[in-house]
Amino acid sequence: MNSNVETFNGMKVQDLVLISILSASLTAGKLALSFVPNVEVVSLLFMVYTVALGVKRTLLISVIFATTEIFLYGFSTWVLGYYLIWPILILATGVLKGKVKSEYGFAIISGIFGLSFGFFFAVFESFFYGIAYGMAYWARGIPLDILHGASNYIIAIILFNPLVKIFSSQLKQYYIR
Amino acid sequence: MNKKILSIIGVIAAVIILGALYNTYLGPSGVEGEKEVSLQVIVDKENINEEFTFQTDHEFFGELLEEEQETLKLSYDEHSTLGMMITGALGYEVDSSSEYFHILVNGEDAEYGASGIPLIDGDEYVLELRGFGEMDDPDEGEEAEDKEVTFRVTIEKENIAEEFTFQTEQEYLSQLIEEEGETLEAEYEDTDFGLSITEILGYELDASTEYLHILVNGEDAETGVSGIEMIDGDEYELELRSFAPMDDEEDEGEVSDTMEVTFIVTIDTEDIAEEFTFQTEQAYVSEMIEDEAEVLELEYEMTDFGMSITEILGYEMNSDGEYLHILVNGEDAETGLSGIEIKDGDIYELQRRDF
Repeated sequence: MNSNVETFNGMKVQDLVLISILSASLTAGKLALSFVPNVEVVSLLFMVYTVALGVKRTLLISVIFATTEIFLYGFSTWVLGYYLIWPILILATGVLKGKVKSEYGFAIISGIFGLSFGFFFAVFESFFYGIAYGMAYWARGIPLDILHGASNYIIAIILFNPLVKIFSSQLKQYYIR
Repeated sequence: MNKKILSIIGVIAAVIILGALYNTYLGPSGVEGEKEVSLQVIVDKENINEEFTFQTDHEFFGELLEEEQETLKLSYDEHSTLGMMITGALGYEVDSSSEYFHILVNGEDAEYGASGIPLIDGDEYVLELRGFGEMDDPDEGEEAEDKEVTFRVTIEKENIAEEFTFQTEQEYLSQLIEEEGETLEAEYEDTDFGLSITEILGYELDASTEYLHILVNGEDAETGVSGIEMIDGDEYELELRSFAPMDDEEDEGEVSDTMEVTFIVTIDTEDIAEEFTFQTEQAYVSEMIEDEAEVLELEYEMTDFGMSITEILGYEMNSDGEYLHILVNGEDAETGLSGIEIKDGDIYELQRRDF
Protein backbone atom coordinates (compact mmCIF):
# COMPACT_ATOMS: atom_id res chain seq x y z
CA MET A 1 0.00 0.00 0.00
CA ASN A 2 1.32 3.39 -0.93
CA SER A 3 1.61 5.46 2.23
CA ASN A 4 1.41 8.58 0.13
CA VAL A 5 -2.27 8.00 -0.71
CA GLU A 6 -4.37 10.98 0.33
CA THR A 7 -7.04 10.10 2.82
CA PHE A 8 -8.78 13.03 4.48
CA ASN A 9 -8.35 16.76 3.98
CA GLY A 10 -5.12 16.15 2.13
CA MET A 11 -3.61 14.13 4.97
CA LYS A 12 -1.59 11.07 4.25
CA VAL A 13 -1.79 7.74 6.02
CA GLN A 14 1.69 8.34 7.42
CA ASP A 15 0.45 11.63 8.91
CA LEU A 16 -2.40 9.85 10.65
CA VAL A 17 -0.04 7.23 12.04
CA LEU A 18 2.56 9.80 13.08
CA ILE A 19 0.01 12.00 14.83
CA SER A 20 -1.34 9.00 16.75
CA ILE A 21 2.11 7.79 17.83
CA LEU A 22 3.24 11.26 18.88
CA SER A 23 0.01 11.81 20.86
CA ALA A 24 0.69 8.51 22.62
CA SER A 25 4.28 9.59 23.31
CA LEU A 26 2.98 12.74 25.03
CA THR A 27 0.59 10.79 27.25
CA ALA A 28 3.34 8.29 28.07
CA GLY A 29 5.79 11.13 28.80
CA LYS A 30 3.29 12.82 31.09
CA LEU A 31 2.47 9.62 32.99
CA ALA A 32 6.16 8.68 33.35
CA LEU A 33 6.91 11.91 35.23
CA SER A 34 3.59 12.28 37.00
CA PHE A 35 5.12 11.33 40.36
CA VAL A 36 7.14 14.57 40.37
CA PRO A 37 4.77 17.53 40.78
CA ASN A 38 4.94 19.98 37.88
CA VAL A 39 7.99 18.49 36.23
CA GLU A 40 6.97 17.37 32.77
CA VAL A 41 8.22 16.79 29.23
CA VAL A 42 4.91 17.59 27.51
CA SER A 43 5.80 21.25 26.93
CA LEU A 44 9.19 20.28 25.53
CA LEU A 45 7.75 17.63 23.22
CA PHE A 46 5.09 19.99 21.89
CA MET A 47 7.81 22.53 21.08
CA VAL A 48 10.01 19.92 19.44
CA TYR A 49 7.10 18.58 17.36
CA THR A 50 6.11 22.11 16.31
CA VAL A 51 9.64 22.96 15.16
CA ALA A 52 10.15 19.65 13.35
CA LEU A 53 6.65 18.82 12.10
CA GLY A 54 4.87 22.15 11.79
CA VAL A 55 2.00 23.85 13.58
CA LYS A 56 -0.95 22.11 11.86
CA ARG A 57 0.04 18.52 12.66
CA THR A 58 1.12 19.44 16.20
CA LEU A 59 -2.24 21.10 16.82
CA LEU A 60 -3.95 17.84 15.86
CA ILE A 61 -1.61 15.98 18.21
CA SER A 62 -2.65 18.35 21.04
CA VAL A 63 -6.35 17.69 20.41
CA ILE A 64 -5.81 13.93 20.67
CA PHE A 65 -3.62 14.39 23.74
CA ALA A 66 -6.26 16.51 25.51
CA THR A 67 -9.00 14.05 24.59
CA THR A 68 -6.92 11.17 25.96
CA GLU A 69 -6.70 13.09 29.24
CA ILE A 70 -10.51 12.95 29.47
CA PHE A 71 -10.40 9.18 29.01
CA LEU A 72 -7.79 8.89 31.76
CA TYR A 73 -9.01 11.39 34.34
CA GLY A 74 -12.65 12.00 33.49
CA PHE A 75 -14.26 15.20 32.37
CA SER A 76 -13.61 18.38 34.34
CA THR A 77 -12.94 22.06 33.73
CA TRP A 78 -9.15 21.77 33.73
CA VAL A 79 -9.35 19.25 30.89
CA LEU A 80 -11.21 21.85 28.85
CA GLY A 81 -8.31 24.20 29.56
CA TYR A 82 -5.97 21.68 27.93
CA TYR A 83 -7.73 22.22 24.61
CA LEU A 84 -6.60 25.85 24.81
CA ILE A 85 -3.31 25.99 26.62
CA TRP A 86 -1.35 23.52 24.49
CA PRO A 87 -2.42 25.13 21.20
CA ILE A 88 -1.27 28.47 22.68
CA LEU A 89 2.20 26.99 23.29
CA ILE A 90 2.24 25.43 19.81
CA LEU A 91 1.20 28.68 18.12
CA ALA A 92 3.76 30.66 20.15
CA THR A 93 6.49 28.19 19.17
CA GLY A 94 5.33 28.30 15.54
CA VAL A 95 5.54 32.10 15.47
CA LEU A 96 9.00 32.18 17.09
CA LYS A 97 10.39 29.27 15.06
CA GLY A 98 11.87 31.45 12.36
CA LYS A 99 13.02 34.18 14.72
CA VAL A 100 14.62 32.26 17.59
CA LYS A 101 17.77 30.43 16.62
CA SER A 102 19.25 29.09 19.86
CA GLU A 103 17.86 26.66 22.42
CA TYR A 104 17.98 29.48 25.00
CA GLY A 105 15.09 31.22 23.30
CA PHE A 106 12.94 28.06 23.34
CA ALA A 107 13.98 27.29 26.93
CA ILE A 108 12.88 30.77 27.98
CA ILE A 109 9.51 30.32 26.20
CA SER A 110 9.10 26.97 27.90
CA GLY A 111 10.02 28.51 31.27
CA ILE A 112 7.58 31.39 30.87
CA PHE A 113 4.91 28.91 29.80
CA GLY A 114 5.48 26.85 32.96
CA LEU A 115 5.45 29.95 35.16
CA SER A 116 2.15 31.17 33.70
CA PHE A 117 0.51 27.73 33.63
CA GLY A 118 -1.25 28.25 36.98
CA PHE A 119 -2.28 31.78 36.04
CA PHE A 120 -3.85 30.57 32.79
CA PHE A 121 -5.89 27.95 34.62
CA ALA A 122 -6.82 30.47 37.34
CA VAL A 123 -8.31 32.74 34.65
CA PHE A 124 -9.97 29.75 32.99
CA GLU A 125 -11.44 28.43 36.25
CA SER A 126 -12.67 31.94 37.14
CA PHE A 127 -15.18 31.68 34.32
CA PHE A 128 -16.69 28.67 36.05
CA TYR A 129 -16.26 29.39 39.75
CA GLY A 130 -15.72 33.15 40.07
CA ILE A 131 -12.73 35.47 40.32
CA ALA A 132 -12.22 34.83 44.06
CA TYR A 133 -11.79 31.13 43.39
CA GLY A 134 -9.41 31.89 40.51
CA MET A 135 -7.26 34.17 42.66
CA ALA A 136 -7.09 31.60 45.47
CA TYR A 137 -6.28 28.88 42.93
CA TRP A 138 -3.43 30.93 41.49
CA ALA A 139 -1.99 32.09 44.82
CA ARG A 140 -2.11 28.56 46.20
CA GLY A 141 -0.20 27.27 43.18
CA ILE A 142 2.54 29.91 42.89
CA PRO A 143 5.28 27.67 44.39
CA LEU A 144 4.32 24.92 41.94
CA ASP A 145 4.33 27.41 39.05
CA ILE A 146 7.85 28.50 40.00
CA LEU A 147 8.92 24.86 40.03
CA HIS A 148 7.15 24.27 36.71
CA GLY A 149 8.83 27.24 35.03
CA ALA A 150 12.30 26.33 36.32
CA SER A 151 12.02 22.65 35.41
CA ASN A 152 10.68 23.52 31.97
CA TYR A 153 13.67 25.80 31.37
CA ILE A 154 16.20 23.22 32.57
CA ILE A 155 14.63 20.36 30.60
CA ALA A 156 14.47 22.46 27.44
CA ILE A 157 18.00 23.84 27.71
CA ILE A 158 19.35 20.29 28.00
CA LEU A 159 17.04 18.33 25.69
CA PHE A 160 15.57 20.71 23.11
CA ASN A 161 18.45 20.73 20.60
CA PRO A 162 19.28 17.00 20.74
CA LEU A 163 15.61 16.04 20.41
CA VAL A 164 14.97 18.38 17.47
CA LYS A 165 18.09 17.02 15.79
CA ILE A 166 17.15 13.34 16.28
CA PHE A 167 13.48 13.89 15.45
CA SER A 168 14.26 15.86 12.27
CA SER A 169 16.75 13.28 11.03
CA GLN A 170 14.27 10.46 11.66
CA LEU A 171 11.62 12.40 9.77
CA LYS A 172 14.01 12.92 6.86
CA GLN A 173 14.75 9.22 6.79
CA TYR A 174 11.22 7.83 7.07
CA TYR A 175 8.79 10.59 6.32
CA ILE A 176 7.88 11.00 2.63
CA ARG A 177 7.05 14.63 1.95
CA MET B 1 28.27 23.87 27.96
CA ASN B 2 29.54 25.98 30.83
CA LYS B 3 27.11 28.67 29.79
CA LYS B 4 24.25 26.19 30.01
CA ILE B 5 25.30 24.97 33.43
CA LEU B 6 25.57 28.56 34.60
CA SER B 7 22.09 29.33 33.35
CA ILE B 8 20.72 26.23 35.10
CA ILE B 9 22.42 27.26 38.35
CA GLY B 10 20.96 30.73 37.86
CA VAL B 11 17.46 29.30 37.45
CA ILE B 12 17.83 27.11 40.55
CA ALA B 13 19.03 30.14 42.54
CA ALA B 14 16.04 32.12 41.23
CA VAL B 15 13.69 29.31 42.36
CA ILE B 16 15.20 29.37 45.86
CA ILE B 17 14.90 33.18 46.08
CA LEU B 18 11.35 33.24 44.68
CA GLY B 19 10.33 30.38 46.99
CA ALA B 20 11.71 32.28 49.99
CA LEU B 21 9.91 35.46 48.92
CA TYR B 22 6.66 33.52 48.52
CA ASN B 23 6.99 31.99 51.97
CA THR B 24 7.79 35.37 53.51
CA TYR B 25 5.13 37.49 51.85
CA LEU B 26 2.42 35.27 50.40
CA GLY B 27 2.58 31.86 52.02
CA PRO B 28 0.85 30.88 55.24
CA SER B 29 3.06 31.51 58.25
CA GLY B 30 2.89 29.76 61.57
CA VAL B 31 3.46 31.12 65.06
CA GLU B 32 5.93 29.51 67.39
CA GLY B 33 5.18 28.79 71.06
CA GLU B 34 2.46 27.14 73.09
CA LYS B 35 -1.10 27.63 71.92
CA GLU B 36 -4.48 26.46 73.07
CA VAL B 37 -6.91 25.69 70.29
CA SER B 38 -10.22 23.90 70.05
CA LEU B 39 -11.31 21.40 67.43
CA GLN B 40 -14.85 20.27 66.78
CA VAL B 41 -15.55 17.23 64.62
CA ILE B 42 -19.02 17.08 63.07
CA VAL B 43 -20.46 14.16 61.14
CA ASP B 44 -24.15 14.97 61.09
CA LYS B 45 -25.33 11.77 59.51
CA GLU B 46 -23.67 9.67 62.23
CA ASN B 47 -24.70 12.06 65.03
CA ILE B 48 -21.04 12.71 65.75
CA ASN B 49 -20.33 16.11 67.27
CA GLU B 50 -17.34 16.18 69.56
CA GLU B 51 -15.17 19.01 70.74
CA PHE B 52 -11.55 18.79 71.84
CA THR B 53 -9.15 21.31 73.33
CA PHE B 54 -5.47 20.91 72.56
CA GLN B 55 -2.30 22.49 73.91
CA THR B 56 0.27 22.52 71.15
CA ASP B 57 3.62 23.91 70.11
CA HIS B 58 3.07 23.13 66.44
CA GLU B 59 2.81 25.86 63.86
CA PHE B 60 0.34 24.32 61.43
CA PHE B 61 -3.05 22.65 61.80
CA GLY B 62 -1.87 19.62 59.81
CA GLU B 63 0.93 19.01 62.32
CA LEU B 64 -1.55 19.16 65.19
CA LEU B 65 -3.79 16.62 63.44
CA GLU B 66 -0.81 14.29 62.96
CA GLU B 67 0.08 14.61 66.65
CA GLU B 68 -3.49 13.98 67.80
CA GLN B 69 -4.14 11.26 65.24
CA GLU B 70 -4.97 8.67 67.91
CA THR B 71 -7.28 10.89 69.94
CA LEU B 72 -9.15 11.93 66.81
CA LYS B 73 -9.09 8.43 65.31
CA LEU B 74 -7.90 10.23 62.23
CA SER B 75 -6.92 8.84 58.87
CA TYR B 76 -5.44 10.97 56.13
CA ASP B 77 -3.51 10.92 52.90
CA GLU B 78 -0.37 12.92 53.46
CA HIS B 79 0.86 12.76 49.93
CA SER B 80 -2.16 13.96 48.00
CA THR B 81 -1.31 16.63 45.45
CA LEU B 82 -3.36 19.07 47.53
CA GLY B 83 -1.43 18.45 50.74
CA MET B 84 -2.87 16.62 53.71
CA MET B 85 -6.24 15.13 52.80
CA ILE B 86 -8.35 13.97 55.74
CA THR B 87 -10.05 10.70 54.88
CA GLY B 88 -11.58 9.80 58.22
CA ALA B 89 -12.23 11.10 61.73
CA LEU B 90 -13.66 9.60 64.93
CA GLY B 91 -14.01 6.30 63.15
CA TYR B 92 -15.98 7.68 60.20
CA GLU B 93 -14.36 7.07 56.81
CA VAL B 94 -15.36 9.45 54.01
CA ASP B 95 -16.70 8.25 50.69
CA SER B 96 -14.25 10.30 48.65
CA SER B 97 -16.45 10.23 45.58
CA SER B 98 -19.17 12.31 47.21
CA GLU B 99 -17.98 13.86 50.46
CA TYR B 100 -15.03 15.40 52.27
CA PHE B 101 -14.08 17.00 55.56
CA HIS B 102 -14.64 20.72 55.27
CA ILE B 103 -12.40 22.83 57.48
CA LEU B 104 -13.65 25.95 59.23
CA VAL B 105 -11.41 28.34 61.11
CA ASN B 106 -13.27 30.52 63.62
CA GLY B 107 -16.51 29.82 61.76
CA GLU B 108 -15.19 30.73 58.32
CA ASP B 109 -14.16 28.49 55.46
CA ALA B 110 -10.45 27.73 55.61
CA GLU B 111 -8.38 29.27 52.82
CA TYR B 112 -5.81 26.47 52.77
CA GLY B 113 -5.71 22.74 53.30
CA ALA B 114 -4.88 21.35 56.75
CA SER B 115 -1.12 21.52 56.15
CA GLY B 116 -1.29 25.21 55.23
CA ILE B 117 -3.44 26.52 58.09
CA PRO B 118 -1.32 28.32 60.69
CA LEU B 119 -2.26 27.56 64.30
CA ILE B 120 -3.08 30.66 66.31
CA ASP B 121 -3.70 30.69 70.04
CA GLY B 122 -7.42 30.60 70.83
CA ASP B 123 -8.52 29.64 67.32
CA GLU B 124 -11.48 27.35 66.88
CA TYR B 125 -11.26 24.73 64.17
CA VAL B 126 -14.09 22.61 62.84
CA LEU B 127 -13.89 19.50 60.71
CA GLU B 128 -17.31 19.02 59.20
CA LEU B 129 -18.33 16.26 56.83
CA ARG B 130 -19.88 17.78 53.72
CA GLY B 131 -21.04 16.61 50.32
CA PHE B 132 -19.36 18.05 47.23
CA GLY B 133 -22.61 19.72 46.20
CA GLU B 134 -22.53 21.92 49.28
CA MET B 135 -19.04 23.10 48.49
CA ASP B 136 -19.75 24.35 45.03
CA ASP B 137 -23.08 25.97 45.64
CA PRO B 138 -22.42 29.65 45.06
CA ASP B 139 -25.92 30.52 46.26
CA GLU B 140 -25.37 28.93 49.64
CA GLY B 141 -24.54 32.23 51.27
CA GLU B 142 -27.52 33.99 49.76
CA GLU B 143 -29.92 31.31 50.86
CA ALA B 144 -28.98 31.74 54.45
CA GLU B 145 -29.66 35.47 54.36
CA ASP B 146 -32.77 36.61 56.10
CA LYS B 147 -34.96 38.81 53.92
CA GLU B 148 -38.00 40.87 54.77
CA VAL B 149 -40.47 41.19 51.95
CA THR B 150 -43.97 42.53 51.58
CA PHE B 151 -46.60 40.36 49.95
CA ARG B 152 -49.96 41.69 48.81
CA VAL B 153 -52.90 39.81 47.39
CA THR B 154 -55.59 41.76 45.58
CA ILE B 155 -58.78 40.15 44.36
CA GLU B 156 -60.89 43.14 43.55
CA LYS B 157 -64.10 41.38 42.76
CA GLU B 158 -64.08 39.74 46.17
CA ASN B 159 -62.92 42.89 47.95
CA ILE B 160 -59.84 41.03 49.05
CA ALA B 161 -56.78 43.20 49.56
CA GLU B 162 -54.46 41.80 52.15
CA GLU B 163 -50.88 42.64 52.91
CA PHE B 164 -48.38 40.42 54.65
CA THR B 165 -44.80 40.95 55.75
CA PHE B 166 -42.67 37.86 55.70
CA GLN B 167 -39.21 37.14 57.05
CA THR B 168 -37.69 34.44 54.94
CA GLU B 169 -34.47 32.71 54.11
CA GLN B 170 -35.90 31.31 50.90
CA GLU B 171 -34.46 32.35 47.59
CA TYR B 172 -37.41 32.34 45.23
CA LEU B 173 -40.92 33.74 45.58
CA SER B 174 -42.44 30.33 44.86
CA GLN B 175 -40.53 28.88 47.84
CA LEU B 176 -41.90 31.64 50.06
CA ILE B 177 -45.46 30.91 48.90
CA GLU B 178 -44.93 27.22 49.66
CA GLU B 179 -43.45 28.12 53.05
CA GLU B 180 -46.36 30.45 53.90
CA GLY B 181 -48.96 28.23 52.24
CA GLU B 182 -51.09 28.07 55.37
CA THR B 183 -51.08 31.82 56.06
CA LEU B 184 -51.92 32.55 52.44
CA GLU B 185 -54.48 29.74 52.28
CA ALA B 186 -52.70 28.86 49.08
CA GLU B 187 -53.25 25.84 46.91
CA TYR B 188 -50.89 25.35 44.02
CA GLU B 189 -49.58 22.85 41.59
CA ASP B 190 -46.17 22.32 40.07
CA THR B 191 -46.38 22.75 36.33
CA ASP B 192 -43.78 22.76 33.58
CA PHE B 193 -43.74 26.53 33.95
CA GLY B 194 -43.11 26.42 37.69
CA LEU B 195 -45.47 26.91 40.57
CA SER B 196 -49.04 27.72 39.54
CA ILE B 197 -51.39 29.06 42.22
CA THR B 198 -54.90 27.66 41.98
CA GLU B 199 -56.34 29.09 45.16
CA ILE B 200 -55.30 31.93 47.45
CA LEU B 201 -56.94 33.45 50.52
CA GLY B 202 -59.81 31.08 49.92
CA TYR B 203 -60.40 32.31 46.39
CA GLU B 204 -60.32 29.58 43.79
CA LEU B 205 -59.14 30.74 40.41
CA ASP B 206 -61.05 29.92 37.27
CA ALA B 207 -58.01 29.10 35.17
CA SER B 208 -59.94 29.47 31.93
CA THR B 209 -60.74 33.14 32.44
CA GLU B 210 -58.44 34.58 35.04
CA TYR B 211 -54.96 34.51 36.49
CA LEU B 212 -52.88 36.04 39.21
CA HIS B 213 -50.84 38.85 37.74
CA ILE B 214 -47.52 39.33 39.50
CA LEU B 215 -46.02 42.71 40.27
CA VAL B 216 -42.55 43.17 41.72
CA ASN B 217 -42.04 46.57 43.32
CA GLY B 218 -45.01 47.86 41.32
CA GLU B 219 -43.76 46.59 37.97
CA ASP B 220 -44.99 43.66 35.94
CA ALA B 221 -42.93 40.57 36.69
CA GLU B 222 -40.99 39.11 33.81
CA THR B 223 -41.28 35.51 35.02
CA GLY B 224 -43.54 33.32 37.08
CA VAL B 225 -43.23 33.04 40.86
CA SER B 226 -40.66 30.26 40.53
CA GLY B 227 -38.34 32.56 38.59
CA ILE B 228 -38.51 35.57 40.88
CA GLU B 229 -35.45 35.82 43.08
CA MET B 230 -36.31 37.63 46.27
CA ILE B 231 -34.34 40.63 47.43
CA ASP B 232 -34.58 42.11 50.90
CA GLY B 233 -37.21 44.86 50.98
CA ASP B 234 -38.99 43.80 47.80
CA GLU B 235 -42.74 44.22 47.44
CA TYR B 236 -44.64 41.50 45.66
CA GLU B 237 -48.24 41.74 44.62
CA LEU B 238 -50.54 39.08 43.24
CA GLU B 239 -53.49 40.68 41.51
CA LEU B 240 -56.39 38.74 40.08
CA ARG B 241 -56.87 39.68 36.45
CA SER B 242 -59.01 38.35 33.62
CA PHE B 243 -57.59 37.18 30.37
CA ALA B 244 -58.41 39.69 27.66
CA PRO B 245 -60.56 37.94 25.04
CA MET B 246 -58.22 37.35 22.16
CA ASP B 247 -60.28 36.79 19.06
CA ASP B 248 -63.86 37.07 20.03
CA GLU B 249 -64.39 40.79 20.03
CA GLU B 250 -68.13 40.41 19.78
CA ASP B 251 -68.19 38.66 23.12
CA GLU B 252 -66.32 41.54 24.64
CA GLY B 253 -69.02 43.86 23.36
CA GLU B 254 -71.72 41.73 24.93
CA VAL B 255 -70.08 41.78 28.32
CA SER B 256 -70.35 45.52 28.56
CA ASP B 257 -73.84 45.52 27.00
CA THR B 258 -76.80 45.98 29.28
CA MET B 259 -78.38 42.69 30.20
CA GLU B 260 -81.80 42.06 31.64
CA VAL B 261 -82.18 39.39 34.25
CA THR B 262 -84.84 38.24 36.67
CA PHE B 263 -84.03 38.03 40.35
CA ILE B 264 -86.33 36.17 42.73
CA VAL B 265 -86.01 36.06 46.51
CA THR B 266 -88.01 33.49 48.44
CA ILE B 267 -88.06 33.41 52.23
CA ASP B 268 -90.58 30.67 52.92
CA THR B 269 -90.77 31.21 56.69
CA GLU B 270 -91.79 34.84 56.22
CA ASP B 271 -93.96 34.35 53.16
CA ILE B 272 -91.67 36.57 51.20
CA ALA B 273 -91.52 35.87 47.48
CA GLU B 274 -90.49 38.82 45.44
CA GLU B 275 -89.43 39.06 41.84
CA PHE B 276 -87.28 41.81 40.39
CA THR B 277 -86.11 42.62 36.92
CA PHE B 278 -82.73 44.24 36.77
CA GLN B 279 -80.90 45.92 33.92
CA THR B 280 -77.21 45.48 34.54
CA GLU B 281 -73.84 45.81 32.89
CA GLN B 282 -72.08 43.90 35.63
CA ALA B 283 -70.35 40.62 34.90
CA TYR B 284 -71.21 38.73 38.08
CA VAL B 285 -74.38 38.32 40.15
CA SER B 286 -72.61 39.51 43.31
CA GLU B 287 -71.71 42.77 41.58
CA MET B 288 -75.25 43.25 40.37
CA ILE B 289 -76.84 42.77 43.76
CA GLU B 290 -74.28 45.10 45.29
CA ASP B 291 -75.59 47.71 42.84
CA GLU B 292 -79.13 46.86 43.81
CA ALA B 293 -78.44 46.61 47.55
CA GLU B 294 -80.92 49.33 48.40
CA VAL B 295 -83.77 47.80 46.43
CA LEU B 296 -83.04 44.40 47.91
CA GLU B 297 -82.57 45.81 51.41
CA LEU B 298 -79.35 43.94 51.35
CA GLU B 299 -76.65 43.48 53.98
CA TYR B 300 -73.69 41.29 53.16
CA GLU B 301 -70.10 40.54 53.97
CA MET B 302 -67.20 39.41 51.88
CA THR B 303 -65.79 36.12 53.09
CA ASP B 304 -63.03 33.91 51.83
CA PHE B 305 -65.68 32.16 49.77
CA GLY B 306 -67.00 35.33 48.20
CA MET B 307 -70.11 37.34 48.98
CA SER B 308 -72.26 36.13 51.88
CA ILE B 309 -75.70 37.71 52.36
CA THR B 310 -76.61 38.39 55.99
CA GLU B 311 -79.86 40.23 55.42
CA ILE B 312 -82.23 40.54 52.48
CA LEU B 313 -85.64 42.20 52.10
CA GLY B 314 -85.53 42.97 55.81
CA TYR B 315 -85.01 39.35 56.76
CA GLU B 316 -81.91 38.66 58.83
CA MET B 317 -80.30 35.33 58.11
CA ASN B 318 -79.51 32.98 60.95
CA SER B 319 -76.16 31.76 59.71
CA ASP B 320 -76.14 28.75 62.03
CA GLY B 321 -79.26 27.04 60.80
CA GLU B 322 -80.11 28.43 57.39
CA TYR B 323 -78.70 29.67 54.15
CA LEU B 324 -79.73 31.17 50.87
CA HIS B 325 -79.78 28.52 48.22
CA ILE B 326 -79.03 29.84 44.75
CA LEU B 327 -80.76 28.67 41.60
CA VAL B 328 -79.77 29.73 38.10
CA ASN B 329 -82.54 29.21 35.57
CA GLY B 330 -84.14 26.74 37.96
CA GLU B 331 -81.00 24.70 38.54
CA ASP B 332 -78.76 24.59 41.57
CA ALA B 333 -75.86 26.98 41.17
CA GLU B 334 -72.40 25.50 41.11
CA THR B 335 -70.68 28.43 42.78
CA GLY B 336 -71.45 31.30 45.12
CA LEU B 337 -72.86 34.61 43.94
CA SER B 338 -69.40 35.94 43.19
CA GLY B 339 -68.76 33.14 40.76
CA ILE B 340 -71.97 33.32 38.74
CA GLU B 341 -71.49 35.12 35.47
CA ILE B 342 -74.50 37.09 34.33
CA LYS B 343 -76.09 36.18 31.01
CA ASP B 344 -78.84 38.12 29.37
CA GLY B 345 -82.28 36.67 30.21
CA ASP B 346 -81.08 34.55 33.12
CA ILE B 347 -83.31 33.92 36.11
CA TYR B 348 -81.60 33.91 39.49
CA GLU B 349 -83.38 32.76 42.55
CA LEU B 350 -82.36 32.93 46.21
CA GLN B 351 -84.30 30.49 48.41
CA ARG B 352 -84.01 30.38 52.17
CA ARG B 353 -83.31 26.83 53.21
CA ASP B 354 -82.43 25.03 56.42
CA PHE B 355 -79.08 23.33 56.66
